Amino acid sequence: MPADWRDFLALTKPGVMRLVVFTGLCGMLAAPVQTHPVLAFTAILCIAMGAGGAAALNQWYEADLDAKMKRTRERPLPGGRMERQSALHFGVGLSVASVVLMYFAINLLSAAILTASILYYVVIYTVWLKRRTPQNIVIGGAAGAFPPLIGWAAATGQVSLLPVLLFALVFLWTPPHFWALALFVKSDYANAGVPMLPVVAGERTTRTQIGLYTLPMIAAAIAPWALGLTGAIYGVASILLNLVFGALALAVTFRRTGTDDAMKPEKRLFAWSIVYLFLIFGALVADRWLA
Amino acid sequence: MTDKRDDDLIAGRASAPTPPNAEQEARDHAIQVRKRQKSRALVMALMLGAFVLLIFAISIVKIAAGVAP
Repeated sequence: MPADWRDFLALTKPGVMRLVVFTGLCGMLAAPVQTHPVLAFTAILCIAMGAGGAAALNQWYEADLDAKMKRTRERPLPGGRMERQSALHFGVGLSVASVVLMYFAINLLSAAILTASILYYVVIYTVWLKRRTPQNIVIGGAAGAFPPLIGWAAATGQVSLLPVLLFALVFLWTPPHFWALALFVKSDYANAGVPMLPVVAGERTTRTQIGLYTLPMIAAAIAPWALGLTGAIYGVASILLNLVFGALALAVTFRRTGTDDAMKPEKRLFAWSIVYLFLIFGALVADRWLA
Repeated sequence: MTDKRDDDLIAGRASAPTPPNAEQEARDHAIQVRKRQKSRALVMALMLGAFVLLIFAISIVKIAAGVAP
């Protein structure tokens, strides 16, 4: 049975792509240069295509792992709805098309950073790190941090301090976000043999690490305002949002779980971390356009 | 007197008749495959059309900005 087009769409991980596209768009809108709407749309489309292609290649490589985890076993490849070769062709095609279009329609720098982000996610994170080290998502987190940098580079043709701080924010946000998830789906990762931190080092260490990574994340989030790169709207929003993030992370850091624990604080931190990223990038754009 | 299965044996043909359920399943499968191919072709056509329009729009913007080669 040939795969349905919805299966190809599922291969691009649309849920993850939403966040990638949003941060990329915000990076572009926060830049001090106005981009023509057609070119802005093209740049965002390229970021989405690149992210989708990388996600397809990730699923192509990890089909065996996905089949072992409850959360992922219904994806097109482990679900038996698509042949592996179709996923490989789709992933490579989408990735190459995104870079070529970015180069010809936008500029070399954004195409180069897009290439780096795809290769980083597929080769460094998926192939190299994920199955080898519990630090997989710390180092691999950089892959998800590229979009604001690409958006900025697409608008301005260069990279400056603000997009680097946005990169640092997403990079440092990734560990608390993923480890909060890993705490409540620990058995899933253990069954699949993925060396996530809670599986390898235990819950206590993971909780401490969540607290430790939250501190520099908050610093990176407030830095654009503290360094005078943004205005008061972003300053107030970032302080409030980080207060909430800090409180939730603190609750997870100093918590001890019992048997049959519902893991509510961990689930709350995971859900908030997603809302947090949307809101803080939204505040950045609001600050640039309303101030 | 021979029945149809004996005729098949004499002629060297496979004697097991296809159960009606299997025939129905094969027909349903073929319909499903056709349906998926059609929907994939439609999505592909729409995406190619959108891509052509996008390239056209990019060209217009670049020419207007004087940056086209």
